[in-house]
Amino acid sequence: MAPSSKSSKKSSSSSSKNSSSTSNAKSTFSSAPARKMSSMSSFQPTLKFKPTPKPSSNSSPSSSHSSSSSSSSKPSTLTRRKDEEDRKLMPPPPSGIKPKPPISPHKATNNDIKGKKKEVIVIDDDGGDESHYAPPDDRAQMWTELYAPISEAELAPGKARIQKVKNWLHESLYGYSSEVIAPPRSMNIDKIRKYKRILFLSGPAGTGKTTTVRLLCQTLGVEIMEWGESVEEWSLGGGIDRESSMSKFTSFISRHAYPSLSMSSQNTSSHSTNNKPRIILLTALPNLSHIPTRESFHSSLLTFCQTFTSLSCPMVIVHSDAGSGGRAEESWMERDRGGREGSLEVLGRDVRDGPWCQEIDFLPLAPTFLNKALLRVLQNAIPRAVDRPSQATVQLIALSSNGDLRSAINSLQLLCGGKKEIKGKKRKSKDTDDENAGESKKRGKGSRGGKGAKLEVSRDLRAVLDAVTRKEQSLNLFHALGKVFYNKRLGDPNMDDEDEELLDRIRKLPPDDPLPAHLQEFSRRKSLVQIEPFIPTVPVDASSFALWLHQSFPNYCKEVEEVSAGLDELCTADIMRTDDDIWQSSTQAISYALHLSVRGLLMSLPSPVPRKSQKVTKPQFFQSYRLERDNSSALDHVAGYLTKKGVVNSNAFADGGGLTQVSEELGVWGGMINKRVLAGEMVPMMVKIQGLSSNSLLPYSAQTLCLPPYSPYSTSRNNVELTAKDEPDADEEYEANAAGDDGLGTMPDPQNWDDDSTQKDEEEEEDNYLIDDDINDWD
Amino acid sequence: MASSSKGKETVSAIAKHTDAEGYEMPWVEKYRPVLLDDIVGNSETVERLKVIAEDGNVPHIIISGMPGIGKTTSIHCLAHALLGDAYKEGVLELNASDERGIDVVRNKIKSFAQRKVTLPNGRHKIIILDEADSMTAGAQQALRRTMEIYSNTTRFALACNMSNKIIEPIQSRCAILRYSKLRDAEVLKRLKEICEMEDVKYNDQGLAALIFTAEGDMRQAINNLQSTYSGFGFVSQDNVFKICDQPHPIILKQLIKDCQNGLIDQALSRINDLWDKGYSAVDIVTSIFRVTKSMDDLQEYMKLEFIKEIGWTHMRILEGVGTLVQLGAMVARLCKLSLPPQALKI
Repeated sequence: MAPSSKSSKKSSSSSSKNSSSTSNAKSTFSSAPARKMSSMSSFQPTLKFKPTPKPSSNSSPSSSHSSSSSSSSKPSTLTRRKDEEDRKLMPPPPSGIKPKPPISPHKATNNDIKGKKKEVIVIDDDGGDESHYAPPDDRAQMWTELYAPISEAELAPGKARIQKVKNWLHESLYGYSSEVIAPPRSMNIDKIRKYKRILFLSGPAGTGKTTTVRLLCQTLGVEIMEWGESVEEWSLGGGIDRESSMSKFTSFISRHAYPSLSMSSQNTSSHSTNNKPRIILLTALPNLSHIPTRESFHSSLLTFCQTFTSLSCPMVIVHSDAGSGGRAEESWMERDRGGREGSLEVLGRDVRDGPWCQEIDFLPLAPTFLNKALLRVLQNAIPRAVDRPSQATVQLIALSSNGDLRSAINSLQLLCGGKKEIKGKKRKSKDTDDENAGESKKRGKGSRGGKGAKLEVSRDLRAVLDAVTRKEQSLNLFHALGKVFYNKRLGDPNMDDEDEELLDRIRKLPPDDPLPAHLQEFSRRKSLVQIEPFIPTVPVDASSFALWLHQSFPNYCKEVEEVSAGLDELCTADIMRTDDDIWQSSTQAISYALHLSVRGLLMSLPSPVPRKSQKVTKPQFFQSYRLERDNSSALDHVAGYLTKKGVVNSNAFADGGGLTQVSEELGVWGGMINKRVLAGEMVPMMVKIQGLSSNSLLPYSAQTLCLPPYSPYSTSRNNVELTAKDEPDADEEYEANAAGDDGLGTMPDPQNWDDDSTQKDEEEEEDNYLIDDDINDWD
Repeated sequence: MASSSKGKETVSAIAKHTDAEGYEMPWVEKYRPVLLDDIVGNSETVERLKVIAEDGNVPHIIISGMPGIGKTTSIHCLAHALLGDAYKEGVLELNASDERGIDVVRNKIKSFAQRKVTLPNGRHKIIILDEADSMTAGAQQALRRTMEIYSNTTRFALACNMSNKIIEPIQSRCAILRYSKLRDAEVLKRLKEICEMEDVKYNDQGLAALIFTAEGDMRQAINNLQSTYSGFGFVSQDNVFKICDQPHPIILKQLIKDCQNGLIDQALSRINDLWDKGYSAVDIVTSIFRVTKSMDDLQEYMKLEFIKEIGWTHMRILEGVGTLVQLGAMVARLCKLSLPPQALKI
């Protein structure tokens, strides 16, 4: 093996985390100037490999930009050199400057292993990036990047999930799982690789999807090619050059599906085993709500999957699935917000249900994981344990970030960022800086908790935390829901644990005016829920809050009358919140709705509410809503299919073919009818005809729209509901059956996915329907 | 929060604002704080911003909250504190009135992010996106990437009313600060300061009325103060309600009381009076809602039913039927609630 090839591998892999670890690298560099020489010697080869595609277009511009800005702040090369020498001569930072983060043990080992190459990178950057900031780069970078994980153990997501991704990568690249010790013979490698074409990572933002992929690729020595032009090239808003940008994407994929033949990799490409494997990473997706864009995106993915050679490389798609986080649900009403496409919309049905694609779902991170990750960041960011915020603070951030690590780190940075500096000042110039000392005293309270006995998070710190981290967090949501559901009133038994202050305040309120005699049944004791202060603490919007209330409140009632009264109020509140434009836009409408739903439920719930460990559950609405979207997209697909088919048929008719079959006639106007008719009449009808005539009428994608063989619902509902919407369980069950019965779920030959050949599968399914009594309803 | 010791600084800061030609500036602009110290309310958060401004490494931030509570002001002050003299070159501000479609994100924001600016050590350029919740989803998606790529040189500061109108990937990339409504005492303090500096004569009820009408919105409070002053020269309760064109809450309170007691004739005549004074139906119904909410001695049940009826009426009025008939009907229904059902039988 040529030494140069080895070095290229290393250099590019370490440069991929260039931006994340520049400061480390620099600190190594400045602390060990002697190494510089050795790294200088390997400088040339690195330069040679620069022209190879950057492993990550994300990190490379960032590093180059940091360099540009810093060089602008001190343009003179002479001073720069001088600075550099100064720094070499004088390693300890001058007073008043923030101390550098220490190199934690694992980092140090990492540096030792890759130390050589890293320094190469540093010198490489030297041209512009010689740091002019008094402390090294860690002031210029966000903590999220600065302290990104650098080893697999530091990754925040669950081990199993990481292992899954790792296995997939390994399999897709080498044809066998990373857990297998003895690789199969090279002939068989492609057997698996052929079906490992696309890895689809989805999950809420900030759960470490991209980080995991990048890091794993780095450890596996895989080169990442990212479609990085997304911002400029992909017309997210639907501009004019959409076509061309999509074709650019298509050509990007086809280009990079094969190893490049550029100069740089020439000498290595002869040894196919040494050839650096590569993957395509897709983080920014085109505007998928635009149908033509989506279709061409899907078709290019499909082509990518189908054209496999032993040299082609796999693709990883990272998609922030906004729908699955707790937070996103608040704005479910905004359909056009983007980013809430599921795997179906992103990949297309053919690819998703095909054999080439694997989906791995990242879940919001558990608070313990977050806690661990935050502590790691803190250790790196704030060297002195004394300066760090207390354990309780970190835990609070972890709890309130709702599984989003990135925002948790951001909150942490905001919370702790300036602390050490102020403290430093205080220590150094206690008397001169009176104002500051007072302030830091106040500020320091929370952090001092970390020193001795773990103090509670001090009150003002908590207030800051509150403001910083008070996102739409589940913690507050359940708190708010509980306040409503438990319907506490003055004079309840077990009042001991209540806040005395609050009780006092409520006792001091003027007594209620008595109700007239005929309304006596509605008189209640004073509620402990003070509506005015309560309303702003509701963490979600009015409609979502109503959904949550609606889902769980019957559990807290004793009598059915109470449920009925409560539902009445919720119903009224719902009408007050209709989608009417004028009304909706007014904030007053929202406050009416909130007032009504909260007050109404408080009025209708029994007092005191029986405690029998009722559970608050997530509204089913979101699930149904998602299903409805899936179905409607399937319907769209059918409509498109029918239209296309209709055009083909009418052309054939013009050529003298003639309309001989009902199917063709249906096809002609299939795409033009509205969705409701399509769902309620066309599709069921065609399913039936299809079964009778053994002629395929519907595309494969219509499968989910078909009836379930039997479900208890079906007898009591009419056709529209049955065929299209609101049938979560039945549909899923059906899909499972379909996958199991005819082996669709496993691995059919790609060629079989044409419409003609699915005919057989559908027929079998149709047989089932014909037995079903429901079918009679359609006659 | 602005303590008396800060008063001098504020005045000096204001001197910058005052127009040499003697035109009167809106007081909102004239007394807009330029130092983080002068920001009213949310003191803990602002304190935090001050500390982090000294450090310089500010993450991307989103400040969310109701209008008039100092979001934009805080961001500007932060930018001033961070960049000092380089403020002009180092800050790009875009608000809802600027075009912020996808092209702007691609071109203007990106080119600003790429630009080289001489800044103090460790500081970043700042892109301020005011009213970010009005940006289209596509533009926000495009922003996502830009934020990531240029985070080494450029920080984003977003202000918005509803943080959930910001797409999740961007929320994730930012530290979110929520500003809460200003407390009445905080607004009052600032109003008094301004009164003092502008030599406005006032009485306490006048200021209380200003605070009532502003509902925690500092901007509105100051605007109303200025209009009351320039209109009447004296800030009293009556003057304020005249200027704000809102029905007097005391009258409304009596109206609700009448309804509660089933005195329909009195209640109707009160509504007629208000109507004759020229208040619009929306104004009346909005104020009635506000008053009803804050009436502590109203029975819970009555309050619920009242709010419901007022809500229905409000809905109809917004749909375009802003007539006296609707208001009268509302009053009648409110009264009916407390009348015994037997009395209504024919």
